Amino acid sequence: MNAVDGTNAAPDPAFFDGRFLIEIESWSAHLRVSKGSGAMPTSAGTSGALNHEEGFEIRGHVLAPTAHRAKTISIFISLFGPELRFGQGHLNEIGQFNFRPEETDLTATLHLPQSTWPVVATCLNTVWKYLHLWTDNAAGTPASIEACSFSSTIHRNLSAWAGLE
Amino acid sequence: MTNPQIITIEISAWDCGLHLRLSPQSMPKEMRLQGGLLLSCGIEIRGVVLEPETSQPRPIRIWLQPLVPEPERGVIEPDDCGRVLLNGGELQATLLLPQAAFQTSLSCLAATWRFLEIEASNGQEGEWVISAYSFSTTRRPTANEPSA
Repeated sequence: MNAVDGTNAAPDPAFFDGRFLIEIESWSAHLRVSKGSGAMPTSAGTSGALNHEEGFEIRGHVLAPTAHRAKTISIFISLFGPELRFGQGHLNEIGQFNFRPEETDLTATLHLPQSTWPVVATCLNTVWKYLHLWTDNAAGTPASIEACSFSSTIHRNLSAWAGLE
Repeated sequence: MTNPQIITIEISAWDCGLHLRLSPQSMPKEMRLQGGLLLSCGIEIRGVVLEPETSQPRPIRIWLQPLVPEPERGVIEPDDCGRVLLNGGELQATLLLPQAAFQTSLSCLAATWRFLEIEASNGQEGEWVISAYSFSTTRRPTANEPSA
């Protein structure tokens, strides 16, 4: 599904602040099962005497912003269970992104709900081509990732920013 | 409301979007995921209406909307399975999907489903109310066609 219909009003000048667009080139999933210790409480990721950890690694390159265009990037996705809390007094980011200007190989970590594992695996395998990251635009690194989005297309509004026009 | 009419659609493309973000402070706590997240995930399908027949094939956009349990109230049971409407000249449909069937739908759209059959009745304000829908790999024969 390549055509993206419709255009919106011109974006706010701050629309692209702290925002990154990444084209996905390859991905892999990992699953690690290990014998649990008797002391570990049963929770998400623990099944009786066995522990399991799942995750993804995505490799791609940056399309936007221009300052980082064509840099390679590795994104390590870990999955969190329902016990993890977010918001005030808890975790206030869904990942971290290192994008120092002098770096040509960038790295990011991303945390997704464990329930999304099958969706992520299926869609990475079939339709998803792009990853959008919104950071807190911190001058220092690593920056906090506040939002992420996967898509198969780039909206027409983003074409110029992504260097596709 | 009229008797249900069958709308048969051939699926030409599908897409799935996933968006995760920290929820804004203004968002009610009971709407947030795990205290401070907002997760949205939905399937969009594009297809062509095969039945009822028209002189030209008519495109349609369909959104599969998962019924996500709300933290305080659980799943809100809807009165129907979705709606079909004409929006700005474009035929659109929203299909409500049990959350438990979301992954199945995704896997089968990727692997095998090619047709969607919707049973809808004429409702209010030009909307059609969907009483049932089903996906399939092969098209069910119409009354005028011999079965394979």
